[in-house]
Amino acid sequence: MLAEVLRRLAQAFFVLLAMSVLVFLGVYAIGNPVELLVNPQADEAEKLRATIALGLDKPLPEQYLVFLRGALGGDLGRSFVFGVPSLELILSKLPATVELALVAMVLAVGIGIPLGLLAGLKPEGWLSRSIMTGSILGFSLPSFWVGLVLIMLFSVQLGWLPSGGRGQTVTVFGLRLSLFTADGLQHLLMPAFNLALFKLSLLIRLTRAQTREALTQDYVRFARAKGLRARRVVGVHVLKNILIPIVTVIGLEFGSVIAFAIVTESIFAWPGTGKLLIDSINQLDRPVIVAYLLVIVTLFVTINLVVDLLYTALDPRVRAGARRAAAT
Amino acid sequence: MTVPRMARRLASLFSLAATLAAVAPALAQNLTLGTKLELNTLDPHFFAAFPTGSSHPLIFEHLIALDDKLQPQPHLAVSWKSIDPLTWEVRLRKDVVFHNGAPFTVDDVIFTWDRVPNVPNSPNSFSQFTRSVEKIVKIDSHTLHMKTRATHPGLPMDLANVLIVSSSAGKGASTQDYNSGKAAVGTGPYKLVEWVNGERLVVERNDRYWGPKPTWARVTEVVLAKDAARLAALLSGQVDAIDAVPSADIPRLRQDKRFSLVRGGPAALVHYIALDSARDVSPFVTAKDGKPLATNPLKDARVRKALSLALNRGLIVDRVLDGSGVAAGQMLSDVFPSAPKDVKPDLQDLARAQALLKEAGWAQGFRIVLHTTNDRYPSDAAIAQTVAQMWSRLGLKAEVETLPGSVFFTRASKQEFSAFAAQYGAEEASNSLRALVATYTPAKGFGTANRTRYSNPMVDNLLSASLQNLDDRQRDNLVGRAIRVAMDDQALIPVFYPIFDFAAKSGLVVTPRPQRRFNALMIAPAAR
Repeated sequence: MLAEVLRRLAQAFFVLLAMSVLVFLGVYAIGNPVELLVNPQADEAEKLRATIALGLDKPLPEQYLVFLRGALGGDLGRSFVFGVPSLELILSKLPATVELALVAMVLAVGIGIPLGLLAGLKPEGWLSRSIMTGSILGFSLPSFWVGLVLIMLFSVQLGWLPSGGRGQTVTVFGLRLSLFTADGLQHLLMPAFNLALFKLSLLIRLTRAQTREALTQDYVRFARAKGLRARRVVGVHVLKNILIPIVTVIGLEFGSVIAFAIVTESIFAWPGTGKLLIDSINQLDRPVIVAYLLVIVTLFVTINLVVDLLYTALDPRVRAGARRAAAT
Repeated sequence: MTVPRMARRLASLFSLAATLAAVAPALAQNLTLGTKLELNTLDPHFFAAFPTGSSHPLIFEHLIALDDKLQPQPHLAVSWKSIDPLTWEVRLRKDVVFHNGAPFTVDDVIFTWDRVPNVPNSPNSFSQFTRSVEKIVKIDSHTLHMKTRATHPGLPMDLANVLIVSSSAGKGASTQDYNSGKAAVGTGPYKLVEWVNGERLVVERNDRYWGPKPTWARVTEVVLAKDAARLAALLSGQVDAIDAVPSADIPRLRQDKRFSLVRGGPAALVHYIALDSARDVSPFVTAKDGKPLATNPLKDARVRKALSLALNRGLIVDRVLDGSGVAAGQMLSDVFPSAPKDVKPDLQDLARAQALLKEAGWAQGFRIVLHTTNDRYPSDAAIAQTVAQMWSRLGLKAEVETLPGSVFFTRASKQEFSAFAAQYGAEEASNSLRALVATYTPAKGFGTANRTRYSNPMVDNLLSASLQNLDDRQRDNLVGRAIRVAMDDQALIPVFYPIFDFAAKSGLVVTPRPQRRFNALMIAPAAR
């Protein structure tokens, strides 16, 4: 197990290294940040001063080495635009995005799996049919459009929910969270639902397919024949067995929800990392772009690791395999 | 729920609403703005740009304020005069205290001027406004002499650009200390409550303010960068007023009685097309079949004039911008009292334009690519498309290439374009001339944004003379003459001066400014 974790970490390290090189080259190829940042009234002296202040006067390989040296010491450089350490900037925005992603995933799982089970158990019922039709809509409607419709309906027409922004926050363990205030939850509901919609539909369809397959399996028939109550058959025998692929998908989707919440974030003016990334790309704020991607890669690696650990907990075969591997 | 119970509930709801209505005057003390401007720092000396210029003056103040004609007016300084060619005497207001209670004196001015060039990592510093001052001599606690390195008539404009920080609260303070609020202590009408980067700025009334009592008890500026989000926030009542109203939604807001649309005058900003007129061969000007040309038609002033005459500026403003612009004939909008009123925008005259092309030997036309940004200015790509169509009617093969600003400006500076559209804003009459048209001379700070390297010695001479002249009227005169010379030669093609649109709940009055700004100082409740 430990060896596996170490191997994963080593892999992650090389991915991080390769990506930082790519971002450096990419941003260099796009343009010169000084052209964008400096005031057009500024003269050559000012441009030169800014270039030196940002460390852009050095040749690119040297800039990279400077970055690498800092990164090994935990310093990912300062944002050109904000003048603060880029990691600090990202970490200050990350709680908002993670919070949004978390609520979205809870909505997707909490609604998607039960609905999917329902649709899988009685595939011919009218309810199942409407669930499946709904999931097609959730799949195919673009999320920016759904977001705008939600805003028009619930904020502009009905006035029930705020149209955007983040609500009141409280500080929990040094993190600013809006999850624990009524105002914060009100602000959270619409963007989280918008973000959840696609995953929700995905989970419904996945759960339904898995359920239908599981129902035909011998162990289910046997359990039924044994006279177990339907609830136990579904809740234990079916659910537990279909969870493994679902957990994989949830894990992967959670990562992508955090990394690509940008559309929802910008429609609902949600001050998260997605918007920060796009702004940074527009301004060629290289330290922030690099740091952001490094954080996201780390996040993906961690999530995958957690998913694998969950497998072990869920699937006795994997557990047994790991034990055998440890014994030999 | 039974019917009577529901009725009781409803009744209590109504009474609650009535109570809320009764406390409404108290709530009206608070103002929430939704803005496109994204403030990136609270350090008033870190980043010279629109968002900082808009929000910081709530908290910090200038020695000199610019009025709505961009003319200098006393603010923290009560008077200023040039006592010899190298010395300006400035007298400070005596009844001013900082938010922390410390009195405002000459020491704070000296502290500020010392700090400005030394803000670490600043990518866009204010040192261009402090550099001309060699040293500041303290005469008494509220009088100072600024010794300039050379004769510097522009000093009052410099004073109108540098915000004064407190020498007591700001001692040794870094940008982060300002961002956290620790050092964000100014003399302004509002005191900082909270700033959350990318989200909001909250300020409250400064009860010890030296000027008229600030209008609002509490002001919240919410960053809403996306047009749809900003508009939705206004329509749903989440914010009281917004800036940069998307032009597609203007007709709808005009019809809605709950809101008022506010349209200012022309801004101190010009949308122009720069032409690659200095080189013998230009990269994106070819024969119509794509073959390279031996000469560059844009070198000929007659061709440049023809390109200007081909434009129907009124149509661009009306149709593409829904009226939020004013046709431009030179770089200075009417905001500037010194703008030469006789230089009128060219009216579309295709016959004359074609005659000029023929006279210049280009009757057969040529192919030209107009480069533009697609994410920097309102409708920037649509404007370029329209311009290209108008050029096509002249018999040219005009194409448009749109690029994101991050790529565009680097390439424009490397002179990779033949024709490109951009905007330039200035607070002082000679600024745009000096940056866009004056011969590129890094040592003198001339032509800093002259990406086409246009050069005209007559413009340079008139401009240099104006920059040395301490007499306001003579200076305006020289600038006006330089502009006339540049426009006769069609150094660039001015297209329009943008207008800033705002929308607010009815009951609020918005006073637009010529600069790109949106803050609580511009908004007041309507008189009853």
